Amino acid sequence: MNLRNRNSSSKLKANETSFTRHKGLKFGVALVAVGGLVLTTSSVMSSSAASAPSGQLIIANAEPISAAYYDPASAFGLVDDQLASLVFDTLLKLDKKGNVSTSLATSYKQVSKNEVDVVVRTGVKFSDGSALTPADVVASINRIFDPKSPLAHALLGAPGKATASGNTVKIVMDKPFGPLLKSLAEIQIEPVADINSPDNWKVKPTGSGPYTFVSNENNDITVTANPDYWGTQPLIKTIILRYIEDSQARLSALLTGQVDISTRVGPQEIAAVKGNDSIKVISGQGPPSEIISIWRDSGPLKSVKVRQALLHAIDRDAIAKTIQGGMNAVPLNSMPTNMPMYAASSVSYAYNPKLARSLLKAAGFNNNLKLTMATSTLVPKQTEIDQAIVAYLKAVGVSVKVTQLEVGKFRSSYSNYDMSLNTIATFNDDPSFALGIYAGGIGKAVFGWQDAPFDALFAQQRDTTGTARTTAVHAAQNYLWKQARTLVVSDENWVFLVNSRVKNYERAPLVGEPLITSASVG
Amino acid sequence: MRYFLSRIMQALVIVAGITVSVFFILRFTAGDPARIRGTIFANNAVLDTYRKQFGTDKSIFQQFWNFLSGISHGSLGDSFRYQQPVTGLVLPALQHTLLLGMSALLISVSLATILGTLSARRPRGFFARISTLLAIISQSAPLFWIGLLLISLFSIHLGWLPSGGFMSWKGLVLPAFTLALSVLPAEMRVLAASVRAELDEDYVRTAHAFGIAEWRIYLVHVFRNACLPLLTVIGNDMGILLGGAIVAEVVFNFPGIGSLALVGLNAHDYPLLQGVTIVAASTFVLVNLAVDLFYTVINPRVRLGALE
Repeated sequence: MNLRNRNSSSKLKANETSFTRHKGLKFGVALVAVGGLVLTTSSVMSSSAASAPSGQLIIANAEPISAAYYDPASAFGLVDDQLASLVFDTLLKLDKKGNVSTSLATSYKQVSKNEVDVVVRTGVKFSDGSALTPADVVASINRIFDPKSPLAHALLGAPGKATASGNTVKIVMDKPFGPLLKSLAEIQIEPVADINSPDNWKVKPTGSGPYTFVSNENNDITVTANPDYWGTQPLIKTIILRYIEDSQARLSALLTGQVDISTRVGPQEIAAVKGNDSIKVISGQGPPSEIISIWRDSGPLKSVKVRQALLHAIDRDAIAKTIQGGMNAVPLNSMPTNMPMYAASSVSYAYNPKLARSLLKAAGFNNNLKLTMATSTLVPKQTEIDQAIVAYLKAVGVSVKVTQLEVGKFRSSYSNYDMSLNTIATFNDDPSFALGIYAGGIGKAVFGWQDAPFDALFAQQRDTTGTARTTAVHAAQNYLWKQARTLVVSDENWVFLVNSRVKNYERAPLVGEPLITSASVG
Repeated sequence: MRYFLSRIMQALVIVAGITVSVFFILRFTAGDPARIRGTIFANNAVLDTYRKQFGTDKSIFQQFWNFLSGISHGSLGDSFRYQQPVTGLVLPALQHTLLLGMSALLISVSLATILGTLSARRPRGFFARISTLLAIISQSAPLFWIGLLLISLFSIHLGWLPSGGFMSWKGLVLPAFTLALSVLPAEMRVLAASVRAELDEDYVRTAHAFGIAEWRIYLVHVFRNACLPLLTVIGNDMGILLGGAIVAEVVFNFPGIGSLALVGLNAHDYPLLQGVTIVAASTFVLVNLAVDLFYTVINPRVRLGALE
């Protein structure tokens, strides 16, 4: 026996064995590594897939968009605001409770009572790929300062100017301006290119928001998640804003699952879904809104005694309970109860027909007061509310001649009648909006009323910031209330019916849907 | 030829009259569209901007002249609300409404033919009773109520069909059937009466005597004569269907000219309303003209009478 050979062969065998073992080990390690890689990749992919927007949400509205002209600064219907809040960004934003925080601005600072400086976020793009710059921010704000802008009164009803210095935009008002921060949460930032070429808005809106406009066809406005959005990607991929004029058709669409949300529903729709576990009722999450009867400051209604008498003659609580199904709170002041800085007055104008009669008598009217009223179907349950008002007034000796008008005619006929019902929704969750309809030229146009003391009070609350503003707002609303300036029938509570497959649906106290990015569909 | 030309001239005069009437009625009776567009707190500067945009700052005669000039170029103006050419809005909507109307007509004529013929054949039979019941329900119940019932049954409870919209052919079924019910009773009655009258004619007895199959007698001989009154009714039904389509489109959220007209009414969108009216009126007149011409093809006696 050749030991060497034996040794070699055994060594060879040993080598072979160790080689095989080594090979096996290597193979095993490689297998584990590949397996780990595969697992990691798939978990990354699946987690990316989970965070990528998915699904479709359809919101049914009772009105179409105001115009197929997508300038967010020139239109202010419900659908206009919905679309603008999805496609555009604002410098600041409001949460569910109306608290201000940053959005397109990375920070903001109230430098003085007149000035707010914001630092504009960098790296943001509009949906056409162009970069959003401070120049776009400046142009978007300055156009709202223009008195010809439809939103001027609503959002920036005082003179001022925005300028840019690097990434910082300075918004300087001529005087302190209380509503400024809330207004910045509503002013949409548009490209300068579109501001300079407004015909672009006839084609589509171009914003930097979480959604991109796709189409407006066959009563559907479609938007899709913006893949280049600077913020957290929305969870829902496609949102459709669908116009369904008839309330029953909207309800049917919701019950059959053809739509997921029905906006601003009334007591009948709420009653129809009672006990239906697949539909949630979302209440109290709309902008501060109220139903008022516009009383023209002319003829008998010029007398404060007459106005106070009429308020005592009308049982607002009964109207809210019976006609409105208990949906709406009844304010004890001139603003909606959910308006910031609302304060209930000590004067309640409680239902008291006897007091009403004595006030009318003191004003020189003894069962001989005649008023005119225009009625239509603009306000929810308007016919019933107007009929109730007429009946209450008749009971205290006031006769009301009612004229039924078509909605369009009604809206252009306020100045021809003593009383006309209307609904006012606040765009920026600020009291200045609600008080502003009584002030200056607006008050003159709407109520035929121009009152220097109130104009001064209105200016004072508008030109004040901080805690002092609360006192000024109280003073303004109390003045209107004690003057019995008009009949505030009730709040207008915005109620939404939402399919239970929609999760985490929340609203800011605004008309639009800026918080919908955190909602998902299951 | 002279007959056809005179009918066409008649149609043009009718459409022109409707166009001019609608133009002036809208502007004299309706409110200011700028006020509709603006909010309650819109100041005069804003309202003036809208008036300029809409062209309503000009005198009514200037507006009318602009309107006529537009028509001569095939333009019906721009919608105040949609800021788009009216033709671009109305024509697609008209297609949907015509589809709805034609579907409804197809359903009603088919049902009327079957039920009317069967009723005439056995006046006291089962199908005659069904026809009577259907006619009573269709004539008594409002269109919107029937629509809501059908939605409740087929969409909400059974889930077979959508409750509204027009995403697919399924969205056409319920509105077309609802609309069909509005014209079915008259068609059934007319056809049943005319089939019954034809069945008493000598040529039918002769055909039986010759041993011709019953189905052939009905299909080839009886029906051809019996359908003439039905054609006249169909011409009238087009107007009912166009009008009823507005209700059906609202109940079923169907994107036709009815829905468009409603938006125009609410917004005081004069150009849109004018466009819808002109197109709808023209369609109705054309359809009636087509029915009249078809009548002369079906019934040579009418053609010969006209020649004489």
